[in-house]
Amino acid sequence: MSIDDRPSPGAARSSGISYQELLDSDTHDVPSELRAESSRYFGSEDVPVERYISREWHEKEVAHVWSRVWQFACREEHLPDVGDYVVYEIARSSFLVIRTAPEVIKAYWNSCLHRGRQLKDFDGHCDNEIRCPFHGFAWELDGSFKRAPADWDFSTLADRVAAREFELPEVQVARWQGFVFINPDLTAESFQEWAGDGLDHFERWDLGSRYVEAHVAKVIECNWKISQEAFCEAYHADTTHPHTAKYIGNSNSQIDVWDNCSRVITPAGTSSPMLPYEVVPDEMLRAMLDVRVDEDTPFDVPEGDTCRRVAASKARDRWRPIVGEVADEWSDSEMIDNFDYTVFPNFHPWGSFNRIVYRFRPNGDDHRTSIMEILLLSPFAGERPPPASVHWLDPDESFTEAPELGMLGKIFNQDLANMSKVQKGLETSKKGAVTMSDYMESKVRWIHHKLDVWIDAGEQAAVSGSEVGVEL
Amino acid sequence: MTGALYEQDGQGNVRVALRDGRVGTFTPDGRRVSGDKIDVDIHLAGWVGGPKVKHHRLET
Repeated sequence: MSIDDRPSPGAARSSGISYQELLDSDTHDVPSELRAESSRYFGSEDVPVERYISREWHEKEVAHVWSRVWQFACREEHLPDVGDYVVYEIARSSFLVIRTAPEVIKAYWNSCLHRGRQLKDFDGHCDNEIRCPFHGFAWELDGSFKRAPADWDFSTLADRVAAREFELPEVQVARWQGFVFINPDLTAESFQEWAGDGLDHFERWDLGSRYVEAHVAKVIECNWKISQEAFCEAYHADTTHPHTAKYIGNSNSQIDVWDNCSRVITPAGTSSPMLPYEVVPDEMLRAMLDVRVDEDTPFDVPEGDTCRRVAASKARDRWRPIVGEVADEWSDSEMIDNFDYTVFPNFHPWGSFNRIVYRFRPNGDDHRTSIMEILLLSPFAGERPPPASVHWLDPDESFTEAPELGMLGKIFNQDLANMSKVQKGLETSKKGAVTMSDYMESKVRWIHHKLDVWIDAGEQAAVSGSEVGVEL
Repeated sequence: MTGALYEQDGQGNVRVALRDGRVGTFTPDGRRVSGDKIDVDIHLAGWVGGPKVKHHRLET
């Protein structure tokens, strides 16, 4: 290809079968949500490594991002009864997310108005008051002041209570499809306005009717963006997950970006265009099911059929007893493809039956380590099962130490092998910047674009004195 | 892509055989234990050397 023949920046696409072309051969009706396309070009410039390694950049994220954005705190099912609460922490701040009435969930800054101790240390339950374990100041569940031991020694307290100065400070709460979000910024737009296009696709998949079948968490030795970005593109898969090349069209993924929501759709039952040969259906099936050379496949691809259609049919058979007729209504794509949606900055609900939800965040106030969480949201028949407790992996434990993740544990181990090494590589980088592709890594570029927008706006507001919101 | 065969060696390591006849043994994280020098794929070594686990495409 000569320089003159090159497509405009961001317009080039991989060889091979595109996702939209695969949809043309679907055996079922394809929903409009999957036909939507919204690629964005965010430039071709390098991204400085300081974003991943510097304390100064972390402080900017704390001041101008984490203090002002909507962020996934817990699931409603974590708060089944009035008085149940979850402690959600981000950077230096801690929040108490609590069900205060059967239909009401509130969130408070997790800090006593007496001497400042955290009101609660762990997830738990309050019977009828939120009581500080230091001196015993207590609040009603709705945040109104209840009592102070020996209040005769607080001469101004009654007046301050009357002036409502001793109500627990709240943050914004939103609920969407069983998820509970908080936003420390009381002036922020609503979550629905925030999420906008893209997330409305989930009306079809209704994650509110799922339950948390598994919840695994691990501290990763890298900045939260490094751990997150390991799951924001499929370009890495041919190298990091080489066993997938025969059955996943990694570089044929479709990347769509709206405002605060984006997605990567990675098709299965199609081989990587980077493979130098054509993969026959039986070989593709063996790779998809991780069948080794001395093992038999549990089922075959009939002559003239495709691995993609057979795998989709088998997926319907698995889901039908649990989800009913929906299994026969949804497209092949929804049965077997990968739908990684992301809501800025760190919430990753996967679409269809993928069941995965990721959350990535700084590990407390440490910008060189992060917390990666995986929730598996599964459909169920009958009574809602209780949500799984968090399974924290020790630093030296791999993801296969969490058998509830199944095959995903092995995939995550491959990603895990890169993440801390990316941090180390960036710390030692002579180049001082990372280079990203225009399209395949455009979701990563989108995250950095959004970070720029938020941080620039925050810094400009601080300079002009018009800063609103809160300080974490 | 290279046509190399990765398989467990029964001792907790991974035996890698190349088409050109070279054979080496590596830990699942890709450290060389014995045999020929091979430009081993650490991710494939980890995949093959790791445990066999429940497959979501076979069990729900």
